[in-house]
Amino acid sequence: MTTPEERLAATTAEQGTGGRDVRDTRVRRGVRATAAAVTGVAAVAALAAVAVLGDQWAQSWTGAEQRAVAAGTRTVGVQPADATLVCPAPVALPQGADVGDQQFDATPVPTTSGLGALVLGGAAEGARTTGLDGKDDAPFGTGDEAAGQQAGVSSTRVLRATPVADEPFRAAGTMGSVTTQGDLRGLGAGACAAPSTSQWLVGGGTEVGATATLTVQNPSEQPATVALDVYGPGGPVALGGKGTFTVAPHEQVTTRLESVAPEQDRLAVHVRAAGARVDASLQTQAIDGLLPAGVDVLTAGASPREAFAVGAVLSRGEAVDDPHAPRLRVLAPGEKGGTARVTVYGPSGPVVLRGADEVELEPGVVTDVPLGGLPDGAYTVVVDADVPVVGAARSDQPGEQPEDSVVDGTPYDVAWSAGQPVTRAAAGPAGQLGVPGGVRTGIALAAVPVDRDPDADPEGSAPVTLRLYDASGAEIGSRELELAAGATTTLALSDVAAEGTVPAGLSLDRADGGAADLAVTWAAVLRADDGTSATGTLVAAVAPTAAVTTPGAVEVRAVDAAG
Amino acid sequence: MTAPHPIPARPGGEVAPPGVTTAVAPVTVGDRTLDGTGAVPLVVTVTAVVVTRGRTPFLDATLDALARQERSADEVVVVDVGAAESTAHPGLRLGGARFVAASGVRSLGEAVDRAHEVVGVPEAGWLWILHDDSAPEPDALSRLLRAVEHSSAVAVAGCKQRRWPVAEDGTPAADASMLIEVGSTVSPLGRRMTGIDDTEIDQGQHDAREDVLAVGLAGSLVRAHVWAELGGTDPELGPFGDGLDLCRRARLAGHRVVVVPDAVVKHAQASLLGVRGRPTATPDLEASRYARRRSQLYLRLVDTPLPLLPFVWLATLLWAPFAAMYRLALKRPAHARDEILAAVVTALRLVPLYRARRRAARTRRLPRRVLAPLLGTWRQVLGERRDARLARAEAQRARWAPSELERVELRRLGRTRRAVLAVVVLAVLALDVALFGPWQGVLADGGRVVGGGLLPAPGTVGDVWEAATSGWVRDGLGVRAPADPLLAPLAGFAVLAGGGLQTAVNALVLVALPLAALGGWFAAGALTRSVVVRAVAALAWAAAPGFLAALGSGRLGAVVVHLTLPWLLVAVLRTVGAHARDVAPARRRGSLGAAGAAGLLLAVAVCAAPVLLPVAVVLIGVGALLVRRSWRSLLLVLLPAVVVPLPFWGEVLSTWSSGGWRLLVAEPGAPMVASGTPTAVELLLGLPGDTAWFEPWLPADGPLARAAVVGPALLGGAVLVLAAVALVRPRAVRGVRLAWLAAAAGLTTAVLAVATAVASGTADDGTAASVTGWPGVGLSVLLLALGAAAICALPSTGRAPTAVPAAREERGGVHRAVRAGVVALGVVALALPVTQLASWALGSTGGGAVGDLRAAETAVVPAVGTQMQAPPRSARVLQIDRVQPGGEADGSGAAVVDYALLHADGTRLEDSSAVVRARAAGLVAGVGRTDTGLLDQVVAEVATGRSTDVVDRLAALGIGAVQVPAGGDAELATTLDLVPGLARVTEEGALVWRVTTDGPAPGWATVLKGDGAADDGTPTPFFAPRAAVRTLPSDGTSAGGRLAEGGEDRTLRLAETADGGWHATLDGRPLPAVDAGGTQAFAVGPESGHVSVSYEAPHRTAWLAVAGLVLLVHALLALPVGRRRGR
Repeated sequence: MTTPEERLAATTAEQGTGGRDVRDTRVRRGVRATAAAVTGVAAVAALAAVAVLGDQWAQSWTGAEQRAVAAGTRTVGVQPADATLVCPAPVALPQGADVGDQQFDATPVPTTSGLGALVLGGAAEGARTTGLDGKDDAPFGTGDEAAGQQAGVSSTRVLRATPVADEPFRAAGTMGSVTTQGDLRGLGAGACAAPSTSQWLVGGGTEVGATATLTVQNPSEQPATVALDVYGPGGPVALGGKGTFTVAPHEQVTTRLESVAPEQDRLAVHVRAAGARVDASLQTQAIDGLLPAGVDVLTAGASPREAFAVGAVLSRGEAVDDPHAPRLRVLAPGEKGGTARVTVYGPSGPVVLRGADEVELEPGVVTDVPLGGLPDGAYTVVVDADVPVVGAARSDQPGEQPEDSVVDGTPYDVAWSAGQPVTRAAAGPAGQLGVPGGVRTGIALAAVPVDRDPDADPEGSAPVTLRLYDASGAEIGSRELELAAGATTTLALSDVAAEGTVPAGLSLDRADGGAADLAVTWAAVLRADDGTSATGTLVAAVAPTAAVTTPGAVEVRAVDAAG
Repeated sequence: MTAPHPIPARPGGEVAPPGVTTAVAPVTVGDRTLDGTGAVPLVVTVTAVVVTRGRTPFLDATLDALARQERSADEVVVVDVGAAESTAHPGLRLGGARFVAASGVRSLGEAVDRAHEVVGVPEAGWLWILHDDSAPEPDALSRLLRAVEHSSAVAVAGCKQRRWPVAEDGTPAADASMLIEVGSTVSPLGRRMTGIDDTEIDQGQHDAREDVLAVGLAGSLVRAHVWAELGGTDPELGPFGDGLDLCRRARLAGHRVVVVPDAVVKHAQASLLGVRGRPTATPDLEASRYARRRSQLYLRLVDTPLPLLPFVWLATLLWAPFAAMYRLALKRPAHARDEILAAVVTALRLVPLYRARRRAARTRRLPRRVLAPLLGTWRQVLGERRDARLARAEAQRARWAPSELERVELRRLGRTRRAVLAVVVLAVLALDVALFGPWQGVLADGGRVVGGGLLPAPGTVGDVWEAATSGWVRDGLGVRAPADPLLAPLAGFAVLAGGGLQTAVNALVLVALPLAALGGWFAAGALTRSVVVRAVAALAWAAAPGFLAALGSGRLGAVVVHLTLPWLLVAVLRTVGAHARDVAPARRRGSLGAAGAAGLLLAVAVCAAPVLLPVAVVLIGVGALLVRRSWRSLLLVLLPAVVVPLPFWGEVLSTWSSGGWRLLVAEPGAPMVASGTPTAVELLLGLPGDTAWFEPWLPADGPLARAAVVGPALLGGAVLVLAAVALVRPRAVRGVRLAWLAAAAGLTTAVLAVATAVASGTADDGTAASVTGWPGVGLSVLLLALGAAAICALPSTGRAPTAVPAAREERGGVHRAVRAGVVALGVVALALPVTQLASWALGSTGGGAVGDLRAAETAVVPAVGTQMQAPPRSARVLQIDRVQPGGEADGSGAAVVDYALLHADGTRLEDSSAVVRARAAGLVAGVGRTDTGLLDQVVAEVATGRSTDVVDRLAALGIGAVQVPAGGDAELATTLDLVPGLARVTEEGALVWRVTTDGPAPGWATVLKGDGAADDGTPTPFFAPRAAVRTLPSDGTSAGGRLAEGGEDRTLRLAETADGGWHATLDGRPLPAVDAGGTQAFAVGPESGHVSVSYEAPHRTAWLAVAGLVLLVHALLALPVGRRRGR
């Protein structure tokens, strides 16, 4: 039982508590609102801070992209294997072509064939040539820095050497065949080349009187399945089953293109190989009635690309419409046609070629561009196209019939110069070339601007060093040249070589200090005499062999195969 | 204790002199005393023993009830087992009762024995055993005595027990008539059966019972000499089951046990309900569960015939986990614990068991089968179960009975909800069909979805399991590393998809869009009941730019996260009971089942994107502080996410300082180089990179183009603004702030991911590039958080926001304007995600592909290769290709040889490991791998074709074939043609060369002649030409086969990286490992026998056990059963 006083006290206390409650609720509500506001602002601020500052904050301490990039690819050292360069087969009359009586013998005189080969640098040791079957070893004469060989040959030779890792592999060989009379009158020469699965041979024809003999060589241990694509003036030629054949290991197969693709007066051949890498060369010859119209050996030029250069195009100042004026042959082998721009660099600089500087290209159609109207001299032609193209150029050299000949007229010899890639390169090797015996060799060098703007005059110069080596591998002369931009410079090797020496090969190096936007393009002109009073009427052009750096390492990368 | 309890004088009875223990002469049953009436009354002495623990609220009432007995007890002894020892001197009285202090007494029986010792009970007398909380009705004793007076066979007579209700403050309340028991029996498995429902009211319906198996001891009359003969109750038993034990032994000793339904005892069951000693505690049947379960198990062991005992003992232990699982599925983790503990403790306490059995055997006079008529049958058990189930269901119905109006309203809501959901899902499904429909032919033919980060996934559940748990990643020649955690959920998906991982991956890609819409719908439904908002949320979740980009680029992890997060939100909200409902509950209750589901969902999400674990830890930690009542459940949510990818966490933590943290943001699947890095502001708006609406069709410049660039950000921007509005509204104040914290965490994750290099990869043009993390996971968290906050800013009723305000007439104009505005807003809100979806669908399809994904039909490895890869050879196929980085036009860079070592049709998803990739990129420290060097070397030599022994080296690595993919480098193909020993098999598509050696075809496990050392004892290089004798049958991860006797020492070489985890045995004897130049090899010796090789990762079993247990517990908790069992 509570007393009245206690009850009163309790009531007062309740009232007091009630007042406090109201105040408490208010205070609590205020505190709660304040807390809500503060936390709300904090929440917005936190998100805004991350949005504004997050980038830099994260970048400042994460990173490590470079480490990941570097680790993605690994480099593995490998021992370079032996390299082979297969030389073209010597010029020979195709089987069955040698018919007729004694007076009109197709081969009144034998053909003399020779090989000049050169290997530079560390690979020189152990360099040799063999037959296609690997037998019949012929070692090189080895000098201090080079090894050379110059010998007569009667069959296909293979140059073998062991490259040194991470060093430019500088090996070259040239097979040259000289025939002074008969259907084969002329000088046919071609450089030895590394086997590959795809080779583009541009030149020759199979019209009446012309013969094109394709030789495919397989130096490997495995059989190669070869497929031909032949392009003519009317576009790709349908070959049917005749365009495919097999080349057994260490064998070569010769095919007459007249039988495969007849009546094509302009030819380009794509040799594709599967199963093994092969080499291909095309021997072209023609007779104009009874007069020899020239022979040459074509080797593979640059693969389809948007720009190529042809060195050593020889003009004798023919008129524009002269059928023997130099001609440029271009083919766009792809699905699309396009336009090619032709730039001609003469002895004193670029020459404007009216009417021929722009060529429309139909896809698959072999187009010839006459280069008549050029003054006498050696020229370098550069083709720029908006589609991948291949090409070559042909120069004709008139000769004289021997005095005892029963046929009147002017015999010609033909020099096909294959297209080469235009490579921008700073100082370093700019190619090498073998020189067969029995010929006189000159070279035509041009410094081609990398950016061929028709409206801008090329400027600057490119210094190069030419070195000659003989068959024992000894250096027999060298010369430093300053190649003016956009001009073609010619030089006879006899002017460089020491007295009484015979060059078996030469090398060209780009020296330091030249303009960086100049590419050095060069080719050799081989000349021989046919025994008549006119000298140097047998002619051939040979493109140099590029120096290939042998990788001592392979970049490998583990990836996912998702399919 | 001091309240007077007058005991009335007994009519005609002798009064036992107080304090004299031996005052009553021992009277045997046959003794009779003549009194004046000439009748032959049976003179019996009844000693009432009230056992209490201190002064309890019931004691007074119980003593009162004793005092009011019509036939009062001859002696009343109060045994206080809680009294201090100091009060233990004889002669203390408590009112009319003797007071016996019996501290240290642990059971009722002991207390009774103590009373026996102190007061002495005549042999022929009766003990009336009472608990402090069991008050007999006034006629109880007389009726009991009347029941026993004519039969000397009755040893125990029990009362009918009624429930004694307890008021709030713990004091006994007015009488009620709920029945507790009228005698009891046991089920065949030893469970106590009363045959009475929990809420059964006593209407005399059980009063026909007489002979029963057992009676409750509270209120029961026990013949004193029987008590002595039986040795009282079993001290091992607590308050539960002691009656059963005593009665059963009495029965087997040849006595009767009867229940006297006329005699009623009110029993408060304080021990049972856990209120003993805690008068204010809520009565809870659960409190005594452990003790009851234990006594039940114990009694079963005591009662079992000896020959069966070992089996029952074992069954007790073995059954406990299953019983625990059942309890877990009913969301009763405490019960589950009790099940296990009780079984273990009972089974291990063998000494009391032995004593009890011996005691029982000593007094047994009858065979056990005499009890058979009294035992419960299975039929009764089933009947009781069914009754309980029906009663529960009825209670559930009765608990919430909506009115007819409410029913109509709910039905209307449900109809609207289903209609809108159907429209949304069908729309997304239509888009899905339009996108992926063209693939169905390819996929039905066994095609697969690949592209972007999605790798081929050939393999069965077994393969995925092996890959996920073996600790050996079959990348290259294999490496010890934890597998990507994503494989664990993928294994689950594969089970759901019928066993094929590829089927699971295909299905996941195909149904990702509709699943995302569904997820968005239900997540929004946990926050609002407005169908319009839910529809917008569903579309927005499916149209999130980050999700679409992840789907289009085949980033499986980000897709899984996006599909999981909404359900995780639902589960977490249900865990704390904060989810929106049509009918608001009176009290928000958390759900343990939802916690289990949330744990599983979080585990899936964390496995798909490990960075979510730290995010979840922070958010759930803060959440546990905000919702303190659910902190246990919330912490439970985190458990599977920690345990399931445990080896991965081990790797992350052990390499943390050397870059292991990068693994958090690394993605499973093929590494993809990002084309650009989004800024943090772009990420805030939900954009994973450069995206614009309808990009291919729009002009490059102009207002339309600018609008297209801004477009994708509109959705994110709108959500952001609404989320900011939610901050100033009073609704869900803490939740909205937590959501903003989550948004900040998500954005941080995204920003961190795009800035962190995690692997090295290859850009589209073939150049090497670094691969950074993908922000999609962070963006999903960001969108979920901001979206949740934004929904809190909107009205949350089930009605559309256009619903009518009351004062329509007065403010008609204003209302129309508001209504129009709301409708316009709704249309815009729907249009934004729809436009986003349409733009993505149009922009990413083309050429049969969706984004980077496509349905691939052709195999990576041609049939001839897959044949080699199949057991028993298990050879590998080396795919190589040469690429020109930067493309063909730019020939300046050195060509790179890309290779992949395949033991299946393509690089398997199962073999892709973020850890391995990060190690390979030098971003995380790891064990040095010997196989990479071996492979690089052999690949370089194959690609250059120069080495003469390259075929031997390939064979030594178990490579049976080399292939160049379709469209690969032709030069390389020619090179391979020229390699001696490689024989071209195919001419089209992928080009395959068979590796041909002089010995047996290359395989996974090869037996070699020689002991692996050269003559001078130095180990020979692994590829040194050694005569391979044969290959062992193997499946690519293990090998086994019979080895014939060999003339000399032999070596078993595996095409796997050398690792300590490889073990080989010959007829069970372990073989010594030898060095084989980087690959694993074992010295075999010349003996014959069965060789078996396998890999065993350290701690694998322990991890699997823990993870399996946690997953089992969560899965059982998540099972949607037993949610309505509570009353």
